[in-house]
Amino acid sequence: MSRVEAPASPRQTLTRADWLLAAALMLLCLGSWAALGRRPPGTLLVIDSPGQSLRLPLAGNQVLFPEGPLGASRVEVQGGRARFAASPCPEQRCVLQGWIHRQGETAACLPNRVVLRLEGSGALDALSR
Amino acid sequence: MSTPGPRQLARLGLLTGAALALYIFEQWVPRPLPWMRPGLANLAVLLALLVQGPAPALAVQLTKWLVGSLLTGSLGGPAFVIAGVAGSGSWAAMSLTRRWAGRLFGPLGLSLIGATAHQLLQLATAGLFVHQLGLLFLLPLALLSALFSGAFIGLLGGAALKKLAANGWLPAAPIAGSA
Repeated sequence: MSRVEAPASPRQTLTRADWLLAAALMLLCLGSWAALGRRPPGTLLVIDSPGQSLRLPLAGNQVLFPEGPLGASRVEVQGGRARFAASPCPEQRCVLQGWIHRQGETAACLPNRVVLRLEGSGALDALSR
Repeated sequence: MSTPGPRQLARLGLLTGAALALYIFEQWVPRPLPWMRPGLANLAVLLALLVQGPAPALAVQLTKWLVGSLLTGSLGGPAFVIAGVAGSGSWAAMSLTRRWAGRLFGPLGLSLIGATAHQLLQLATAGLFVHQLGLLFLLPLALLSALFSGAFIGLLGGAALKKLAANGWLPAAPIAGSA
């Protein structure tokens, strides 16, 4: 890499293609959001942790403490939804993700290696089994 | 084509330094979700690509990734791998776009393409670690994030380029499209 490419006249101005691209990205974003929002609610919660894989119905109010390498994560089930309520991981991504309630949705804590997954009776369910 | 002169090397060094400073600075900026960062350091990669070319841009990108991860303590973890794949893919997407459709897109378009590639690869690489189809649900959020960060960095890059040109910091070659 001893050669440096000649600076081939960088464009500084905004082009029509720039704006079209931005608009396309916005449409793609809204489209994917609308498509995913139509998935039916999940009925089964699967909690994968290094020690075990737990399956339980997504109903009632429950608090679970799956163990990972960093310690216990606090998982809450409430009103057909599930979430990480607390986690021993440094970045708290899993907690920030909030509630999940649709079939196929997951919440994952990579550092603590705990994954929540919602299943139902749809196609995604068959795929993930 | 020429071997890098002192001016080019100095410019590259400044851009790399700026990339690292922005990378560290960004760690302290609060963000709504951890993977929704503005990606300020990519501004330096974008500028390096526009002013110097693909190879110098890759140098800035790789230094930002390695030294930045070393300084923030994330070297070697899953986040490090994800950032490396996503960052390199983003560089490749921007370089190829510039090569094949350089006339079509300005800084904003390039940046949007880079940001989208970054977000999609981030999701895909995370999928390797989690083995979950459920990550698909993060797609709208990833695209939204790409739109905002890409537009932000692209517009900032365009403005910076104009300023740098006005101050005589850019190579002497005439610059197309300057107002």
